[in-house]
Amino acid sequence: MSEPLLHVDGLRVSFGARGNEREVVRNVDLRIERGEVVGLVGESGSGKSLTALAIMQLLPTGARASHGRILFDGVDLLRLPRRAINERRGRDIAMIFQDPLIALNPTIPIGRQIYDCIRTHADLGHRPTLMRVEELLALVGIAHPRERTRAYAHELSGGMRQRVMTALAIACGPKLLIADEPTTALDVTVQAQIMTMLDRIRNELGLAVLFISHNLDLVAEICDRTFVMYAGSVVESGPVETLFAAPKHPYTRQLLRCIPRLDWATGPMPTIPGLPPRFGELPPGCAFAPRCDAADARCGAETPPVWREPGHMAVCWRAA
Amino acid sequence: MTRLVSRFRWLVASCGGPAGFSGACVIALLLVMALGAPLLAPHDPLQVSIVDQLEEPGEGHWLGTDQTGRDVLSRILWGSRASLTVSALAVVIGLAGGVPIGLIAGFFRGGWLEQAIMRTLEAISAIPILIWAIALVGIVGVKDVQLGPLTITNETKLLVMLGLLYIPTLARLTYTSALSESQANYVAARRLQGVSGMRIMFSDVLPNCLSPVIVQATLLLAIGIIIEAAISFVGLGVQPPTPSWGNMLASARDYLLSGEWWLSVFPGAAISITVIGFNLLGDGLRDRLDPRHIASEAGR
Amino acid sequence: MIAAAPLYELRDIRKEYVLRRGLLERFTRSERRIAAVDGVSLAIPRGEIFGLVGESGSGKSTLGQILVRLIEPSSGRLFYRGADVAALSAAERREFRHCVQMVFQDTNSSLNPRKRIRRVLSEALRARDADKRQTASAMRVEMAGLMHQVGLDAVLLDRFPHELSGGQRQRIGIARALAMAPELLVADEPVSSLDVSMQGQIVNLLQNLNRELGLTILLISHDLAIVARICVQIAVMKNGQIVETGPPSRVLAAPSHPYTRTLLDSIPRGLHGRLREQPRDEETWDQSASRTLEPELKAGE
Repeated sequence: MSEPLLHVDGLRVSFGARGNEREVVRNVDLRIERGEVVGLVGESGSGKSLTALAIMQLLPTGARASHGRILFDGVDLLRLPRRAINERRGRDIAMIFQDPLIALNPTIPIGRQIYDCIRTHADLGHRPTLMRVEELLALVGIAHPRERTRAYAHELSGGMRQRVMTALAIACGPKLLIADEPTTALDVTVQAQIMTMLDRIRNELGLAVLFISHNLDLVAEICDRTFVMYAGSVVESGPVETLFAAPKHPYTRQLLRCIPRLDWATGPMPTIPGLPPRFGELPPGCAFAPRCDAADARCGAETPPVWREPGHMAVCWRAA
Repeated sequence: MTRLVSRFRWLVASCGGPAGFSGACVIALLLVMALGAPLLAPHDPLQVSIVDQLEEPGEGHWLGTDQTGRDVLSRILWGSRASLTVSALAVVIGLAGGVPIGLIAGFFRGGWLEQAIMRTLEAISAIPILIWAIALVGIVGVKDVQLGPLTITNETKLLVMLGLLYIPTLARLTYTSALSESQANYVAARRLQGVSGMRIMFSDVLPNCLSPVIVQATLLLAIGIIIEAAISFVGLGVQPPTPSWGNMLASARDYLLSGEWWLSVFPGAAISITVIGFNLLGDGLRDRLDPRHIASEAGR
Repeated sequence: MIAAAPLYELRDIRKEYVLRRGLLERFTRSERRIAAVDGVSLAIPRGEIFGLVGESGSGKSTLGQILVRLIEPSSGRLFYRGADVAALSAAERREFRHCVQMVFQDTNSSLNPRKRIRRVLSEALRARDADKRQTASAMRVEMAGLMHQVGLDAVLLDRFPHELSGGQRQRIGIARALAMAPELLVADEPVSSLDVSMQGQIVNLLQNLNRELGLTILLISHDLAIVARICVQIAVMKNGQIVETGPPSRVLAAPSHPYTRTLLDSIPRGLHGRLREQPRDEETWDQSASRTLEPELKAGE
């Protein structure tokens, strides 16, 4: 059994000063094999973005990874000194975000940004680097790459910016690409194009992808396996087909029901009643129990056990 | 007892932390000094006494006496009045003028009015306040002016001038906030209710523009103290014998090297501590007023 | 069946924005105009939920703002209840304000962060009443009624917006609009900023309001599935123009316009969509150019 590329083991992330901490990521376990596309699904407040930021060591001020290990290629990222992290970031693990405007420098042409990125991590020489820049832009599906290298970020449409950000991310050949809600801000037609692009680069470069989204349908399209997060912890994980066809955790099941579909159904749209718990105000027992349609007395009193089958797990009393 | 402790904690938190709270304490002290000067001062600040000239700090004169025998402590206490009056009233004028101007420019934006206002303000603020102050004092003169029953003292001229010079900064700050708040959906919702523009501007937009303005006002209070001291130091501000920290420093100029340290150290310390106090409070308020929303949103 | 007169009719509405050029370009006199809404004619029937579908840059939000008269059109006419909206007297204009209300997409900016919910609603009620003052107790009863109507506990009246969730804020936005007792509610992307598990709460609320109050609703959205579910008629917008109208059962099942077809094809299909063909990479310069104009096409001019 080979070692996974990424193994997040018991990760906890908390906010706030000591003594007044709120845990926003609670004991999360994640595994990504080489070349695999793994989805991380959750709604607002689930902690999925913070998990990704913890992996990249890009947690915002005030947030700390207080426990656990993040093993990338066997090395614990949480224990590395800053310089070593900077080397790995960009070269081995890269990230693309929801808003490309944040990641792209508005004052430097995009071609130059990619050029600089390549030069930082590899010494190819001037001409080869330029050619690589064009290759990358073509790989992410930008027509007329040579002309586009001179463009500035704000001159490009949202979809193109997302492609440029992806080119920047894969420029140094990372082993893992983390995509945090890459299509959420895009129109649905552009979203489809970006999803195809992600699929293509994954095939051509063989890199692993951690695809974070609140959109289960998107995750089902591109991912091999998925982790579902609620209130800071993983409630279910498994292969995408199994999760969609036969979810074991009520949250996954209820969430799937809520997705609006063009199925000509009438009557009220299904929802999950109530609100997710606030950080630091978790109910006893299962965090989802107050909103769960299958909860009983046990769920509200005791922490549910982890149910496991090969490749599939759920944290629920009812999973068996 | 615990109630007092929690009240105290709340007070410290409202000032944005212990630093801000110390700033607030300094200012409270200043207010007590200024308002209570008649009661607190042990001696008449104007009373000269040839016998007591240049006495070192000690019994009877805790902070010593100056070259005409006047008690330094009493002069410091009374001098705080000049500093506070000029600085506070100048800020009031600045707010009264700057905030409405910025608000109107930001809310009724578009068109020549906004451009005219903002460009004029920018032109004025291109020159540092101190230079303006000196130039204007040069024009306006140092003597007291009689306008019918009113005597316009030099102090008054100074604070009016300063207030006018604060207007561009405060207007620009309000303008920036007003510009973005005016485009918020809650303003559109009020428009849809048929509410008049002026009403929306004052009741909805204005309260949301005040945070940075309050912070800036506190910092301008500090600047006002310095400018009053500087202007009085060069003789263009509060005229002797009325005590002001600035002119006390000016008359201490001749004694800097001759050993009568108490003449310059105490007024200088008064200025420094007050300015630091205002700055600390301003910083504390800035932290308190801005990320408050962010902090409470982090819980969702 | 006699076709009832539409509640709100738009005839050939256009809204143009002039691109602000730099100083030098001003002298060359080439004024570039961009049409956010480019000749839209629409008839919104009374008592129904009408859907307006489109992506960003389609002009649907601008059209919504024109409908509620936050923005004036550059040309074209609006007829509300048969009367030309531009030719209303002052009193009639005030009445118009009561009849047509809007619910916004961004719940963060749709409520004044410094006002408690109680004040938000009481101000709305007072704006409705204008001269006639209500007693405090009558006001309280009405506010409790509004909260109940949108399914919220009256205890939330004393909270500030940042203490509520996105879904709760959106309901307050609806309550505020209802306080004016409108006939037409323009809902501009009311659920786009909400979690999927909460979207149904708002959609169901809108449907109930339509059924119980006979409230006409214009639902502006990019989400075809939601629109298909509750709208009786939809219009598809692209680049400022309406490319197709009709009942969702026809438009979405058998679209006649290629753009509608593209929209439908782009919806993620979950497991069924796992094998995808190569995309058309058609992002041309023109599309890029239109993107830089987006900030100028946003709310409030």
